[in-house]
Amino acid sequence: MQTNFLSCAVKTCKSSPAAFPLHFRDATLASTNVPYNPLLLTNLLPRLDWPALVTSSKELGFTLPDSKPSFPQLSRGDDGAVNVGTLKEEEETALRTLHRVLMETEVVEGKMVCGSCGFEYGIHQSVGNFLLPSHLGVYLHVVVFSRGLGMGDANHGSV
Amino acid sequence: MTSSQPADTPLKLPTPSTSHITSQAVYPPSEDSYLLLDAFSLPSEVAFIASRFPAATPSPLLVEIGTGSGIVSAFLAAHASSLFSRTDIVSLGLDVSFTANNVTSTTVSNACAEHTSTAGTFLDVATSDLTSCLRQGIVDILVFNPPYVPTAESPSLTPLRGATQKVVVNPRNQDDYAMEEYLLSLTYAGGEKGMQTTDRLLDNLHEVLSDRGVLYLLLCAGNRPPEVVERVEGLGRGWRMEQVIERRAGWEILSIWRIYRDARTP
Repeated sequence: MQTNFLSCAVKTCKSSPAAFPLHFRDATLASTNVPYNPLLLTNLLPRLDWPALVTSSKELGFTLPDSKPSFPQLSRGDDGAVNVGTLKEEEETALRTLHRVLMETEVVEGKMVCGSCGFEYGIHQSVGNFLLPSHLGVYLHVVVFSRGLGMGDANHGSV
Repeated sequence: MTSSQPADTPLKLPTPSTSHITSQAVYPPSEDSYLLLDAFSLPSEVAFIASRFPAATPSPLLVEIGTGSGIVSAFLAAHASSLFSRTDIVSLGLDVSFTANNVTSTTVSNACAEHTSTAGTFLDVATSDLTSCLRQGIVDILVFNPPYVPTAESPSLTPLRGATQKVVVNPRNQDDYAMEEYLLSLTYAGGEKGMQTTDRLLDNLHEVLSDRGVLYLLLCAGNRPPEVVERVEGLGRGWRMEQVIERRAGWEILSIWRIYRDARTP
């Protein structure tokens, strides 16, 4: 699920649609046991990019529907209980699948690859490493500098 | 103890345990860490956050930069219902140090396991320079206790780049000692005015925060907070920077600030 919040760390990739989502490669998965929380899932859904989630999930072996499912607005009552009774059976099933994919699946080892620049980010002991090597930083300075001088991009054009 | 009004005393919430940290090379929980915990525990701050992230709105994404021991992320995740008035928050911890990320995972999961009924969901840690690994405009609550001590220069990240880091603990040889010393220098050395790292975040803040996003930033007096306020509010477009709490800690005066866009101001 965290992949839905991540993108390539290379600055020039931030605006490229191909840089999101990063693509899993050689992923070793682990499943964790997390309490099922339908209120969290339904409140989280509006802020997830669904097509990206479908892509990431497929790369890890899970199939999600092509279009984003919709659920009734859940809330917590005065007694602290969530009104899950309003969910239909198929909605409940869909939420359980989302729970498994989003909350209980972890990539322990592997790579995440940018579809724009091709850079591979390593995942080691469940921690993704997004520190770019120095040569990428240097390269970027050259690009920004030469644009500023010669190509008159939007940031410099009016000076 | 605090300089805010007597009526606004911090809620008393248990501080997460960091007893699993023995000699890992991370910044130990200190006065600045505890000031952040107290800032979020002020009833006035709880009210501010509740009004900015009402229950029926999408789940807030909380991100901490420079998690170190993980004590702040652990506190915020474990006490979500008290601090954010909802438990459907998700959070991420970012640090340039793999050692810090490794330690943070444990600190946070221990704290959340101890407080299951009040905890939010801590998603993950990642090794990252500031928020460079995140999609733009998605962070709702950003927390940063930066390397704020004014120093001749701020250390370069080059030794960490392009390498697979390992957990630095119990140094045994010259190289390990050097790495430990380097990692600890990254936790405090802020370069000119102690603002070199903070400035890099502020430069890109508009691309990091969501429209409803708020940055909680720790500054010391040497960072010249009034100059930072002038700079942030000088951006116009509703940018506000307000002090949440201030405290003298030894020879330092530390303060926590919230920086956000006020939609009502053009």
